[in-house]
Amino acid sequence: MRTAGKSTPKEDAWIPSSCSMCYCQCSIRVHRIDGVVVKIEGNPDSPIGEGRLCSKGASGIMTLYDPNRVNNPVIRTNPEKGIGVDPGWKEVSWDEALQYVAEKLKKVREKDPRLLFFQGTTTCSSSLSAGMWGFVSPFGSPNFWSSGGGLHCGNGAHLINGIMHASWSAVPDFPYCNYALYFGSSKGHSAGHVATQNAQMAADARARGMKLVVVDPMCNFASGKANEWVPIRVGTDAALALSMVNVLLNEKGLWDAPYLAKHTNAPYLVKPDGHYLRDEASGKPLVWDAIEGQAMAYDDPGMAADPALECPRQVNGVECRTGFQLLKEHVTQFSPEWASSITTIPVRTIRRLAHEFGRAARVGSTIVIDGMSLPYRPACAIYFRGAQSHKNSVYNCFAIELLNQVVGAADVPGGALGFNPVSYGHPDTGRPNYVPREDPDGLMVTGMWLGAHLPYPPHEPSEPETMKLGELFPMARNSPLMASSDQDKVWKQFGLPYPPEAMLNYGANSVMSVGNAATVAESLKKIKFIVSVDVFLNEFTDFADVVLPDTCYLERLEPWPNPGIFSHPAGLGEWAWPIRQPAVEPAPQRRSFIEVMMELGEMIGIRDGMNIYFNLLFGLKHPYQLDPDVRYTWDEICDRVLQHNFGPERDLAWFRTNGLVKWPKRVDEVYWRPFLKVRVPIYWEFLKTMGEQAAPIAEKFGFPMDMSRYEPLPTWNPCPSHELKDERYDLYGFYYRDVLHANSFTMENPWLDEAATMNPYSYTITMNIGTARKKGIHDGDIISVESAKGRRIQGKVKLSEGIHPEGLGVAACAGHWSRNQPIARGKGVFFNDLLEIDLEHADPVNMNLDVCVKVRAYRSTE
Amino acid sequence: MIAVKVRFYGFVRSALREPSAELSVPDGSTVTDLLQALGERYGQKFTEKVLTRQGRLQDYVRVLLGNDLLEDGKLDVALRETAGGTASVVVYLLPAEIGG
Repeated sequence: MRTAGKSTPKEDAWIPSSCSMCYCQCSIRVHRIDGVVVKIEGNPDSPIGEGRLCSKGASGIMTLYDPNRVNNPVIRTNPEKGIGVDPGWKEVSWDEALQYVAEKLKKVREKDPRLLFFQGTTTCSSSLSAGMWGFVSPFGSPNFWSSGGGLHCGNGAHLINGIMHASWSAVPDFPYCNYALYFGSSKGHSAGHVATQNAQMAADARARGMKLVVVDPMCNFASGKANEWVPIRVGTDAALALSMVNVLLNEKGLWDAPYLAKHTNAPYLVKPDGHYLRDEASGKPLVWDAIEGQAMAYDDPGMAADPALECPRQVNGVECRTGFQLLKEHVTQFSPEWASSITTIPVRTIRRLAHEFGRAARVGSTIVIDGMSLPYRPACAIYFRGAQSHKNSVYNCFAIELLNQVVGAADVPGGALGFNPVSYGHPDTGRPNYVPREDPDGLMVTGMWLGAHLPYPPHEPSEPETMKLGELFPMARNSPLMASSDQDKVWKQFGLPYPPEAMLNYGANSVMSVGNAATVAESLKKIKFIVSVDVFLNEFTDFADVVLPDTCYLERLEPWPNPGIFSHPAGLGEWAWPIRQPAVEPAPQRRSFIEVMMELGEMIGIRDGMNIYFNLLFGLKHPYQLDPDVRYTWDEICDRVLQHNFGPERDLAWFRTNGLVKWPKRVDEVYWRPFLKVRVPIYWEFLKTMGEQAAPIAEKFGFPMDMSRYEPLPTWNPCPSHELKDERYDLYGFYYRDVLHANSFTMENPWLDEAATMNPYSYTITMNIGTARKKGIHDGDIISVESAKGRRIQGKVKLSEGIHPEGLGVAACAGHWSRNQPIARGKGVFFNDLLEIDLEHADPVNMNLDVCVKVRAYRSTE
Repeated sequence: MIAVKVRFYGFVRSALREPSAELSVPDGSTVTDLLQALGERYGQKFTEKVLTRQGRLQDYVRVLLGNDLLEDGKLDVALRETAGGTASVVVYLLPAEIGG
């Protein structure tokens, strides 16, 4: 309680909790004096940051106390909706607002639950899973997306890391890696998951001597500190990676044969039709036993040695090649000379990188850690948003990942490490416990995933029922169709009942986070009733009918901010399970999103389904399992989650005091690959099968699908920007995530705004100095950037030698115009306004949106 | 015969309009038998939503017998009546994952 007017004694407390200024969710401790938060620091007791905190985390106090937050439920009075149109908000009571919302949602549910569309955010998403999914599931709607999340981020990278590393993402094994090759990624440089801890680990690795080579159109966060920056033409990463694989396999003759034979499907026999040759009785894929001279099931215990990577031309009377042979032959078409013409990287550089990578991997070497002899592969290829955010998203990631697989640098010391895909649990309880397992084909299925649809095996394509066509595109985690210009046409084509009638938004600003605002606005205007739960009024809430004021992360309780495969540091050290807890009580009219969802669930009559969902989400078992017929408080549910995992002695009260529990990691959890009998696919037979199953469904509805993207081995395919032949548009516009900001969410934070204002790149357009000279553009000029579709943005130019001559880089996601965000308003450049949102600009397999665009740039005075 | 009450949650409404079903199955029936019986009652669309072509649970489907979550591939569990005289089964279709 505040003790205004009293000088002593003052309350002086440090509250252990978790940040949520971005998706990293680092551990923090919050200093509170007399009920007022005065400082936020990293929690030195937690391995999730070890006391480090970035500028965003330290600035959270300004979000908590922002005078522009929405503090009352409001209902729209102006029926007209549009960009910049004032909704005419009227303040109402919570009772009135919730009754209004519940009545509307009940009617939608009675008519057709599919007509409710849920939109979440990935920016600060930890409570989303419990609150949003807990409501979505029993409501009965499958229509959910993460606003721009996925489309701009991990539709490709997370998917491929899930298939190949059983994890959401991967990083170098910093303590042992000697050569890290980054493609469009800045991991370890205040960016990406586990930003603070990875920054220290990357710095230590560099001090130890790890070489860092960054392939990127722009020399920014990682490349600016790297040993070598390799400028690349935007969107051509797969061409480089495939040519490097070619050099390794066909010029150097270098690969890790034991790894490929034991831990991948490289030895699987493949028929001329592209499918596995299978054992007639068991249906299992066959491999070639070179010693016995016969084909055997891949897991036959009678096999005399590792299965062969090469096979005779004919096996059991069928013409065959192994997956490895097919890969080796496939990449011969990707010569360094070919790749150079596409990437603009010199041929000798491509060969040198391949040689350096292959040599650094030390194929065949071992290392002893804690008395265990393990493969030692101190080289890795890491990819993220920059490489994967293109129309060739799936193949881009697959191609780069092949570098790790060919040299066996996957989840072993020194290689590419998934974020904790193996957990044998706390020594007292054995929880949390998750381990990858094998499917009937011997391929790896993740032990843990952030959602029900696993990356592998993908579900079989079926006739679409969802807004995003997820049934037809099983590898699409998100889809532009939720806000695209062609959504009506596509939904009509499949006879679907959309547009939706109602939308529930949690914390997302899709008007700015997907693509051009006009297209998103049109999609929102079709929805009759929109509810948003948020801490601010912004460009999105201008389209809402009701806004409910949310608590921020310093005002709410969450039992599990750091899922192991998402935001927990990889590598040896300690496990930690922190909580997030209120550092202060929320202002009277702010309510936690989760509790609001539970209240709405009661009013709509779906509490039983929500309770069962919570049981499934948290794996609750007797005696902590929720009774579907009992109404619980959120505190009670959190208490059960914590006791279930760590025993009755570590209940919510214990966690409130201690903040987290931690325990040592095991070597076979961190470097798990040699210990588990699972294989990963270097030949994606399943993709071919998926395409063959999807094709007749698409054909039935007259829907065109590009089946060339459903081949088992990757290629480089151009983006629409590469195919534009109009020479007036001579630059590739792209955006990158500024480490000073967390997407559009933090732009309103005054401290971060001040820092961004001091940074010459945060709020400007970066152009190559030589390119600018040819165009008569000078540093500081106001320039216009225009796409061939006539979309235009404007901003101050910053000239640099640290950007590819054909590139034009913008830090996203600035350029707010909401009158309710006075700090953010008018700052920086809204790059996304250049992006088309339609299937033409989406990967034909995972529907990732292509976020590069061919543009022309000129001084605005012209 | 065993009386069974099945409650459906999640995105099942396109395959069936009712939130629950009550049916009787022969003594000794398993959850696999029950899913087959439900498929016969509700048709191919229900079956395709719940099971793969190989007869395994779709990865987004969870089945509970009483309070116990059944693992995929282990559905040959005998249905058992609870104290109320009815076997209680939940079929839950979970939503897709978040992005990131």
